[in-house]
Amino acid sequence: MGKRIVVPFGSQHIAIPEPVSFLFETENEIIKSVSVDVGYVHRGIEKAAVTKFEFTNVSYLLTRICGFCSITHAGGYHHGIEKLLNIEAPKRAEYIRLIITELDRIHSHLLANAHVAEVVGYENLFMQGVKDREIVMELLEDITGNRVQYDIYTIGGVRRDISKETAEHIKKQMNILKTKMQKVFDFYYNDYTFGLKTKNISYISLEKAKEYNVAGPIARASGLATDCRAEFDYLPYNELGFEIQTRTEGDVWARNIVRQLEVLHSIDLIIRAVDNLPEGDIKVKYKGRPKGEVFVRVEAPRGECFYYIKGNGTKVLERVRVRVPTYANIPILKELFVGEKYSDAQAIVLSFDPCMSCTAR
Amino acid sequence: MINPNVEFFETTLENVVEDIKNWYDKEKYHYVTINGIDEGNKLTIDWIFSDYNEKNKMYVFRVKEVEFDKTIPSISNIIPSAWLAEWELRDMFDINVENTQKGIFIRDEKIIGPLRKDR
Repeated sequence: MGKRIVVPFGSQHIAIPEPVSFLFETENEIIKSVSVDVGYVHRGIEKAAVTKFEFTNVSYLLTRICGFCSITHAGGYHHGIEKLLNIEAPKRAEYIRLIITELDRIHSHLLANAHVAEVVGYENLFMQGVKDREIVMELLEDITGNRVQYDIYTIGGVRRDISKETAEHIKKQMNILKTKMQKVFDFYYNDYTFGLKTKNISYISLEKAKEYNVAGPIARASGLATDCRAEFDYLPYNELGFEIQTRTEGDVWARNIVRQLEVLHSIDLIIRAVDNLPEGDIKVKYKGRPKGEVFVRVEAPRGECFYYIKGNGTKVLERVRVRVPTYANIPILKELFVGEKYSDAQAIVLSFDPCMSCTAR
Repeated sequence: MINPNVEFFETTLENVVEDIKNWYDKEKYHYVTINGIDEGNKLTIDWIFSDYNEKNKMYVFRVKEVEFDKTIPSISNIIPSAWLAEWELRDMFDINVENTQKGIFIRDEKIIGPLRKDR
């Protein structure tokens, strides 16, 4: 029996991009117990959404919960508000929303996988991932005007249309990216040393995933086929042949593989969406103010994002509740550390792709 | 337009844990979160679930007209991942929730129950 040592991990740590604090109680390098603090970036956004802003402006506030998931928050809010206002966005707008949402997913997954590669010792692969991600960032800038906060969603449709030239450019760039991503996938899948450092680390069984209601790529890496794109009709995914990507290994390696498979599938979805982009308007007008309540689920890059919106017929909403995927995955993450080596803690945290800005709001 | 198919189960604070325990099946249902809504002096609390197999389906266990001095029962024994939402409920509404501690989201002692309308 060795002496137990308490090792703080965060709130500011060189391996994690956002503030989160874990206190590991370790014995001979093995983690014995964990306590977690996730509230460092709480900004009172749910409170501000029902006191400081009119419902037309709340979207700008919610998209600033997080840079990576900004389009998801815009989606969760606008699909809910449109339901309360009883309006339907035009088909073309839905396709443009889908294209931006999937581009966002690609760049988020690329950075998440690159971070895992970096902490297991592949710094060149991290650089490569970030370089490839630039293709997507430039496309997003071309379409929306912004690299991070796109604000393409508006009540009743989207703000900007995609021209024929831009559509061709998207397809060309997606085909280039697909070739690159196939190579990266082959590396993650086949490289012996990468496998050695990531396989069988922080294993989550299918039973455990169901017990802890795990969301997103973490659940899908354990064989739990759950994805709001298939379970909730909010964008025309079924028209484009969406398929849930799963693995059964349930470890750090499988999470990277699932994310990489999703990148490849998102590229296909974007190409199909551009090919089948319907003609017509990109926005409809609306009247009135939101009244009633609505429950919305959308798929963020990290998993299920839930929105509850309640309006009372005035300009200011009654309640906005946001439940993000990292929030759903924190309980299993806390349990998972116990019994693992302290040296694997970085890879475990980053394989979850945690988003603390979303969690704390 | 989205078309969520939400099924409500209205219950009471005394029965909610038992009701969820009898209904919940981890193979079929996915626990989403717990939500509090201040209706002015009284609170409505929702325990929200979705369905792995049925599209657009959601289930909500709803307790209405909860006084702020009541204790909310914990469902962490049935659903181990529910503790985070229970701790948050305590921070945001300054209401007592079984087996929770204050301070996971709001550490500032001057800010108490910010989502309550009377604060």
